[in-house]
Amino acid sequence: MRLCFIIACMVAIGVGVVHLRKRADIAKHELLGLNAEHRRLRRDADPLELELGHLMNPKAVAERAKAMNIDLNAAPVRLAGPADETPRRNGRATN
Amino acid sequence: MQGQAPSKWRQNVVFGGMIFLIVALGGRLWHMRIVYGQRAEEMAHRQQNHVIPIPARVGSIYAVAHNRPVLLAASKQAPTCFVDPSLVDDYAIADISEDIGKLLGIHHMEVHDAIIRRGDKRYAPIKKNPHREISLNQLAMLRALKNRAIGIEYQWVRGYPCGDLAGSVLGFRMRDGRPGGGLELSLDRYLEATNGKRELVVDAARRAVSIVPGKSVAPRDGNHVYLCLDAVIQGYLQEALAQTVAKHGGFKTWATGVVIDPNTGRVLAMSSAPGFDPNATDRSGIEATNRAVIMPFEPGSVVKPLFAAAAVSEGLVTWDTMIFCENGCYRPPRGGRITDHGQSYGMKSVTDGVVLSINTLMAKLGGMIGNSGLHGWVSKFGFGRKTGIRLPGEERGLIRPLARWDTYSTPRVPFGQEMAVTSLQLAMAFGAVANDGLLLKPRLVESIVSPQGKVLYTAKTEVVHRVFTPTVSQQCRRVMQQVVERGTGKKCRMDKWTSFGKTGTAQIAGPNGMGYADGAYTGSFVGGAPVEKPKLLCVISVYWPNRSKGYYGGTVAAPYVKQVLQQSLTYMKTPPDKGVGIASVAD
Repeated sequence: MRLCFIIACMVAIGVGVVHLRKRADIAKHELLGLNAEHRRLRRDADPLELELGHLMNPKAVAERAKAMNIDLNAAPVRLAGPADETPRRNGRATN
Repeated sequence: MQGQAPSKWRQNVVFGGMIFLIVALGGRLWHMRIVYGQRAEEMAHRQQNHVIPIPARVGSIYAVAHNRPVLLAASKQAPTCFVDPSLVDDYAIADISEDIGKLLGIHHMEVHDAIIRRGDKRYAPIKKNPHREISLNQLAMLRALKNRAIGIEYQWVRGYPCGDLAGSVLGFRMRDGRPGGGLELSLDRYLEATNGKRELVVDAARRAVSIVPGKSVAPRDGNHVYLCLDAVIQGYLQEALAQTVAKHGGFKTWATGVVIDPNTGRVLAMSSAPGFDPNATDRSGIEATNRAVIMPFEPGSVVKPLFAAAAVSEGLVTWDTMIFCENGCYRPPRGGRITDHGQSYGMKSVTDGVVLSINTLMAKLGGMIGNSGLHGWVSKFGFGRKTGIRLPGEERGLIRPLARWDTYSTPRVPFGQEMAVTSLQLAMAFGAVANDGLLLKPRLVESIVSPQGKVLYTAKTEVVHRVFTPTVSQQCRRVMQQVVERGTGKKCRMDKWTSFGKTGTAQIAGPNGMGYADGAYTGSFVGGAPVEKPKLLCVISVYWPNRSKGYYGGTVAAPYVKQVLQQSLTYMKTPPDKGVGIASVAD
């Protein structure tokens, strides 16, 4: 009876080790997949950063602003009337 | 019947055969382990292991605009196309060439030639452009062909999204990623990346079985560099330089410009015209060099305020000391003849000597200071040595040793002859006038940040030494303000801000180094604003302008310095310090 118990324990340990090994392998493969995905995402993100750089080029911004008739050096437009009133807290403007 | 004993020879044959077998196996074992062992191990390693390279990215370079970073240079992995000729049957070459040519927009014969030329290899790159880069749409369409012979690989490409903005400062990277000049070269040890790798054990179908422990190397991306350059001011400067070259330029004309913050030594803009786009594939021209630091020129009259301030600092004169200007023609002892180009001046103050740019008066000041003193002051201004800016190829200018200065040098050095300086040296020397007397080290790099966001380096203002006392500097600025208000630099007068400046028109040395070339000048202007607390200082020099279109510093440079200062001060929201416009600000 005691021998059966020992054998059962050893079998359980064996099954556990195999299971853990399997999980470890799966995790390693998931890690590889994530690494590959990371590389792919970076490959996609880098050109987007450059594209954003093109769009934020001050010269390009100035040209777009000119086309839209916006003066980039002008002070912010102040609206007349109640819409211009900024909410106040403790008697001080929050803006 | 008695059994026959096995014959002796049969026993010997069997025994001999076994011995032979053992020897043969031993020999084979020896051959496999000793002779062939290493190759076999390598082969097994190759078959069982697979190394995945993990590319690392070179750091990016940023300028600033509206207090936000502006991307000037960054790397990306661009898809490129190749064909494996071993997987293409001879009769299918025409079809595959037709397909690829149609998708990539190149002639099918070019593709055909590329495949045929490398028919014995497994790699035939298809060139669409010098970088071989294809668009994402083309990539999707190529993949949709589902042809095993068509391969896609990724290559690093350096991009400069702002085009020619600060192109000569940035430099470029060659197609293999090596730096080719400018900041890309001088900052390469911060920008460079180290590729990583991951080693896997694979099965017969090359599927990953496990990761080889201890063999993986993490990639290390390059650090990002944040510059002091302001992309907006840089744009204003480049526009101004392009305009002056277009308006006053001739066959050999080029122009350089530098804008600095005189209080910190930050270089806010630096350029030369004709400009240079680092995205261009042909970078062999002189345009790719940063002339503002590599091309010294004779400054001429633009340095007069510096030497006048030097004489005042030494207590030899005051700004109001009257000096006889010899009616426009002065013959110093063994010093040749100095003229005022047709002007005839009598008694003039030192202030007038600067405001009206009087050579004879400056020559007399030179005589008072003496060669030894002049040489010391030249050195104090930072001329004749590198400024220490992180740019490759910086020139120290040309200042001859004191022993080679003679009686001709004494009267000529104070009005900018017998020396050559770069635009940056000139800007930093006048920075000392603008910041109450300190010569600062110019800086282009504001900070260096690791890919993880850790700040590795932050620049600080570095004082080289004191040149003038604050009092002398302020007085010098006020004298230079008069240059703009009533002197030779009127074209730099602004409506909203007070400004100070000085013109310079220097002759260009002759081809053999003797005398001056006929009709060849460098027109310069150095200007700053506002006068009381200068925020900007700008130097523009136009080398060899077309004489028929104007060549004086007051004509070819002053209006453009004004344009740059005016635009930049507006952009920086600097409150006007002149009567006009102040009321509107108060409103």
